[in-house]
Amino acid sequence: MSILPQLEQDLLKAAQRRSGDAENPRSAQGRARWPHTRPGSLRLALAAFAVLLASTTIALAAGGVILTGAPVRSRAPQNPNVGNGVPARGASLLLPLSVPDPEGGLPWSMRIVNTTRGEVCLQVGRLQNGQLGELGLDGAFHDDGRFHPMSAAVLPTMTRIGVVAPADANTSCQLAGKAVAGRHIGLDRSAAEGAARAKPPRSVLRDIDYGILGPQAVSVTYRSGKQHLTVPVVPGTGAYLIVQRTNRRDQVGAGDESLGTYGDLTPYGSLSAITYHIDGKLCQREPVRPPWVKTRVADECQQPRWPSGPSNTRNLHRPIHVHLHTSHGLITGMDVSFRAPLAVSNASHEYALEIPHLPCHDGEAGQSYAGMSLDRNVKRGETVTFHASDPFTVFANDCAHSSATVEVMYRGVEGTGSVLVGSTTVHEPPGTRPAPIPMPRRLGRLYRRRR
Amino acid sequence: MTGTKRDAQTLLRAARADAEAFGAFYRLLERQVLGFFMRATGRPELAADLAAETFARALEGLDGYDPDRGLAEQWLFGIARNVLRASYREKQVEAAARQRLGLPVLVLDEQSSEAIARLIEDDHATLALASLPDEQQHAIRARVVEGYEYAEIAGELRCSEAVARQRVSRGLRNLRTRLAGER
Repeated sequence: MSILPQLEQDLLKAAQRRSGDAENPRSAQGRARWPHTRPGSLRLALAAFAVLLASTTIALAAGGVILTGAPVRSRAPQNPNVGNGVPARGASLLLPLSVPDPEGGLPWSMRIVNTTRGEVCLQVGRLQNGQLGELGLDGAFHDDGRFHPMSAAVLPTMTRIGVVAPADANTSCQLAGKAVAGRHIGLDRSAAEGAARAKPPRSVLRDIDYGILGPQAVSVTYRSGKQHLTVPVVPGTGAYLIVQRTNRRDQVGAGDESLGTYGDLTPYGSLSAITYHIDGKLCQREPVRPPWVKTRVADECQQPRWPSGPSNTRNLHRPIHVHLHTSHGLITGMDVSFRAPLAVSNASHEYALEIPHLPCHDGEAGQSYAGMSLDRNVKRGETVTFHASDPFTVFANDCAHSSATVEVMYRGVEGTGSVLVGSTTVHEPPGTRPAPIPMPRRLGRLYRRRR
Repeated sequence: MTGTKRDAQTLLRAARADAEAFGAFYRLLERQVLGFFMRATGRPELAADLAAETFARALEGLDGYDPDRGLAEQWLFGIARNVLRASYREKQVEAAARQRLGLPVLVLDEQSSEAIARLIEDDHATLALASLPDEQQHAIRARVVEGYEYAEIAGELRCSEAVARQRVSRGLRNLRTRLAGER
């Protein structure tokens, strides 16, 4: 490997041009001419300059010569024991993917980052000199036209297990060992998160299909306009990356992920088929279809082996303490604390607070409280406290119960291995009532009732 | 070593028709050329810039290389010395060949900069040279590394030819003493 790979590339291209020019002297003469420009208004000139800047960046990027700017910074401080955690030492891998952008310029690539909380994050960005990064255009990095390297440590702050990354994010995280097929719709061509203007033209947006399908995966077939194209996945990981212009019909800002087990995951997003190598044979899976729709693939894989359902929940009967906060006759908050009987050492398990569904007196289904979970590691024996600032939903659900049962669960984020740590009943103190729900949530409840 | 020389020669010949061969030629001699310029300037960014211009000139002059007149390395380092000399004379790194070839401005990242600096990390002579007074350093670099004539050095350093000789001579003596002290 050379010390100055950029120079090596530039020289190689110059040598290639030189070889070409030797064969075709006319082409060299043609390239030497500069285009003539006409004078215009200041606004036109500025607009032209902005376009020129963007196109120059693209053009420079196409030549592999884009300047390097400041590295991409983490959006918020990160903690190895909270949320996604931080990259585990030596556990990041830039995949051997180099996917061309529809407009040209630097190709796209993807990095796998294993974190201290047992998650796998997939970072998508533009590729230059073996580095993943973002471009300074379309509002990102003050349109400086440079390449901004993005390290493995730049992980999302809001994404966690069970919460889907926003479509304009370039990184998504999920539990290690899971197959994933995901899609970002409307990611900015700079690869910078939320970089585009309020209403960016679709031409600067990209639909990114990405995933890890596991060692059994061989290739993926995807829709590109009216065509179906097939590309091989990265051997071993089954990783793939597809970059297309945002489709006119796509809902910009949408995007999701499909999770499954290796060898079983069905296509998602733009994918129309996944080819696996299972039990010594090649077979294909297609998107889930209604039973009456005939399969389109010739060698369909056997039906996935779905995992068995969760076993009965064990109850540890540990004491749960509840403290209500009141002010001027209003219940303004609730603290629920307990001593952790089991440790949480990664993102695969969590402690959660739940208020089970209670039927209304008239038989109508009442609204259940969604509860909350603790997205961090916990030591065994540690005193854990949940702070609930919305007690209205505990007591004043749709049928106005004045008491509620509070449960603390220890559970696997995939719904397996749930343990009931303990439960207790909370009564609304006499002469108090829950503080009103803030207006936006009240409107939301009103909307749900009308439905 | 012989194999390397033969390889450079072969690659340079092949590079006339094969762009990839020039890439291989670059990779083969990149460290030597960067090290040469790093010793001469002591600054990685200058070394990188000078190396870029050297290889650009080499690419332009491929057809002019005659294997009978010397090894590929000798030919390349001849270009390197000329680039260095011209750059000192103009007080800026030459970029004419890169401009003609349409090569972009080279941007050095921190990683590459450190890698270039490390090329002479264990180079005792360079370290000892850096410890000499400035006028002796300049004189030795000009005479020994870059091959200037004493008259040219005198003109560059704005002193008489005798003073230039004296600075080189004293500088080399100091250098020998320091290197002997290290052992």
